Amino acid sequence: MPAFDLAEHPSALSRFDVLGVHSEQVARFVEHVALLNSDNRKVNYGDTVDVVHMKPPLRTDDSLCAHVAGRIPLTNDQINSIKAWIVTVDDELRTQNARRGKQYIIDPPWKDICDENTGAHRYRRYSCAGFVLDAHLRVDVSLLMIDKEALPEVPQQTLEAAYPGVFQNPDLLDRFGLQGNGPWRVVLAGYVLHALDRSRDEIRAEPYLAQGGDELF
Amino acid sequence: MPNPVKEHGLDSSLGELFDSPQETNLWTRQTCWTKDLAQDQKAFRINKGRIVETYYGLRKGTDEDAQSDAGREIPQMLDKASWDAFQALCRRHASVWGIAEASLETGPFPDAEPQSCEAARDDQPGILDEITGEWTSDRLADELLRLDIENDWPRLRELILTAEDFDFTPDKSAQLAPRLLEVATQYRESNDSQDAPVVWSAIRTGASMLRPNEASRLLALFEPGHPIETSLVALKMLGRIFEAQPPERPDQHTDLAGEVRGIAESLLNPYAIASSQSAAMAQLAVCTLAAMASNETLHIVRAVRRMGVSWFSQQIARELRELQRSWNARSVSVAPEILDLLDRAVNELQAI
Repeated sequence: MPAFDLAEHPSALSRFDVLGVHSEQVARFVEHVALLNSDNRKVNYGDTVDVVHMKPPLRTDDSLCAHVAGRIPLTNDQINSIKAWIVTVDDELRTQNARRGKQYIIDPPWKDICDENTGAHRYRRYSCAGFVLDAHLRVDVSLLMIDKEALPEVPQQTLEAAYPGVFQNPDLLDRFGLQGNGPWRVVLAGYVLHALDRSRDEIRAEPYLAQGGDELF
Repeated sequence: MPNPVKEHGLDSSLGELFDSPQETNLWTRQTCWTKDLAQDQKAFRINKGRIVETYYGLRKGTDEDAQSDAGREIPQMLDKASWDAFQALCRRHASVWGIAEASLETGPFPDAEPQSCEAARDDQPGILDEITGEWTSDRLADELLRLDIENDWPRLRELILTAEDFDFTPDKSAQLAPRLLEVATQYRESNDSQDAPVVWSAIRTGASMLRPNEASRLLALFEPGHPIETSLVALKMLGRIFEAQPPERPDQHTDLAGEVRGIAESLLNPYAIASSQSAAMAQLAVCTLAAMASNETLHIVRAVRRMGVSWFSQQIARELRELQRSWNARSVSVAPEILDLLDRAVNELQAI
């Protein structure tokens, strides 16, 4: 089974398999996703595991309690490629440790910050789901359709479950890319688990088209 | 007036209360937040430029009317979200509220015992735009250029991190770029763990401002014998300079390309590539050579093939294809011989 609730299916997982964390307020709402950062680890529901993730900030030496998981799985070559990629971007994201919210973004799932005069790329901002999706893109695995027209609309109530307190700060909303009063078409963490909940052939054939309600897994 | 509360002076419960996600919905107001911690304690969180600062207020005295006035007026004044308004508030209600600074997220606290909120900070008045409460890019640039690299390092360190999110005029960028790279060169050997991310930020921001004919300013950061992370960031940014501003013709920057080729050749062996850091450095070197349209590119790409490390070859091919896509998407045309060179490099790897 490609993606699963660890309460029902405790499993042996591999490096850079995707882990999800359920919300404490909303049943089955996936509020965060991360990449497992250890090899061949048996993971039960609620286990604390080593991860690399956009917390924020990006942490390559962090841990979390895992509730759900999804995997392709990745080959050794792909794992080595992602490892090298993380090294090339690690400096950009560790820099923002003192400004936790500064490197985070909700919409789009990632955004390049460039010099206005030269166009040279300085760093990339991510959501937690965006980081996981980009990591897979580095090995030519396109998990999810992220074009706006392809995403379901999400009301404020759903986003508040994912980002408590953000809607009380218009400056923060603006920085995170949420304009207007909604609903919004954004990538939520649960979509990544649904994208993984397909056969390997299906995953490689085409990216997943998220549906309303996929924030739950 | 209570003593200022330094970051390490806060007990964990208070720190958690400020930042607990469960408590975030108790913060009120928009750009300047207040939260009642207890009957006689308030927290204030205010946007000050690009920094959010937290202040801890302790009620003192027993004048009920004065306290009532302060309780009503404080939120109103804080709505203006300006540093000057907040200072005025502290002076006005100093008999009622002792406002102290709880620097949870900002730099070191001033050493002097503060007599008022104004004295509690050594920031210069007038830097902030009073309407928006934010830095302007010109003011930020001037401050970055004014501060002494050694004597003002804590403050400079903060502003360098702030600058990475700003756009500056071409004139200011021309002054800032060498300044930021000078800072990076001076602090790359620092033992303070807080300095390394700032060094990298200075490289990224400073390098992103460079034109291709200025790219040699990064050479000093490639010197061996210094932290490899610094060289890795400099190498990455060299590639990004040319990705954004393609060369006009092949081999336009032979000296610089020669340095990059040396890095690539030193790392293109299966033993070095086994380390993720060395693999990343080698990958950046190969891709930077391609972005510089160096005629050494094909030679280096063939060396990649000869290594026989399939994942690495595929990774390089993927990055070179990404460079192709980036250049093809540009509104300004790239010289055909440069595109042809890149095309040949990709084909060399795809033939594996």
